[in-house]
Amino acid sequence: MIGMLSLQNRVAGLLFCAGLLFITLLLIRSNKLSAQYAVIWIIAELTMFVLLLFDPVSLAIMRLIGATNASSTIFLLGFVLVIGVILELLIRVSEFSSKLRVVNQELGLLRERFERLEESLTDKSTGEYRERGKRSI
Amino acid sequence: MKVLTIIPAYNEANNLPRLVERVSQYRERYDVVVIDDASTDQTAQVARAGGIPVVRLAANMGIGGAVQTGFKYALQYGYDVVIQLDGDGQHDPAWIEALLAPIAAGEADCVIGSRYMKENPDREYKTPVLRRIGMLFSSMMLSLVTGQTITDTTSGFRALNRRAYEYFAREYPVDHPDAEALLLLHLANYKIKEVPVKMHSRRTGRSSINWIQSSLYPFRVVVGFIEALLKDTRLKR
Repeated sequence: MIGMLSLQNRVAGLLFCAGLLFITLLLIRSNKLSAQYAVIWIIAELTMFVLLLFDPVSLAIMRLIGATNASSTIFLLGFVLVIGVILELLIRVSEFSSKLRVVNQELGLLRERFERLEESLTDKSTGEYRERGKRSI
Repeated sequence: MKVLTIIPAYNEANNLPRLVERVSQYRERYDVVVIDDASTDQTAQVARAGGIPVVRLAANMGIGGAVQTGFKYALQYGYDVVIQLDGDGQHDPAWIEALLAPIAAGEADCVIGSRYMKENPDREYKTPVLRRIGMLFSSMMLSLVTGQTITDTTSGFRALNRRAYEYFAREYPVDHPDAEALLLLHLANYKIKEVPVKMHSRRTGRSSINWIQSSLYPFRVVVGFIEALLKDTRLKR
């Protein structure tokens, strides 16, 4: 006996997905979320739409994983998706921290070079900074 | 041989003057740079007052990130050998010569100043029990994986030749800098050697390692080792 979604389930699910999609698009529009990061999220929302609207698709997935209940299958898919999104975020965080490290180190090294240069340009007797092009008398 | 001494320091304004004074005795033989890991005290000013160039990091990165900045600095100015020396004054610059000898003789790419070598243990140096257990653990792990016995895996008193520090400038385990760094060197076929040294205990301030970190240390070593072994070091050489 295969348990499919009731009409009420479908409507609630569709409203939820539509709301989420709307918020996502709004965030992209207001520049708070870059489209690059939203891609996986939008794909997920569209997949949910398909699953809620077209029974043959969810039936095929249920058969594939041996599930008998449509709502728990959708929950499982949601769970898998959340894990995917978290993993993607962790990859981004690792990437960013490694880039940030390089930038931080590079900044420190440049600062040291700059101070060295500044010192060599500073007139030792007066302590004044010699501007380029101006000749000290 | 152009030698650079890297001193990573985080809020060491109290310990640094003594170290600067001691290091200054050797200024003719070795250059020195202090890597100020975004200290909130006068660390940078103290070093500068002693005539030592300072690389000030904009954000705190921990000892690993600071040391790696030192390797990049050495690369930038073309040094042959770098010496790592802790900013808390534990390491005596008088031992630098001992660390340099095996590198000059071509016997090793990395030389570690060890407190615990059987031939000449540093009996005056007191290690807290928890830290000692952690060190024994990482030492055991390292010898298990590499087949080489290294008695002082957490020693921050090291000398590296150009090949080795160039490698670390590119690839350095900034989160687990001690034993994992040695494992990486070993995996990339660099020769590691230990020489006995004596160290001072900290004078003022607290070590950045507290008991919670000490108890977590074995886990960090395991995580670090897994990371090092998973990474394809052959590609990165």
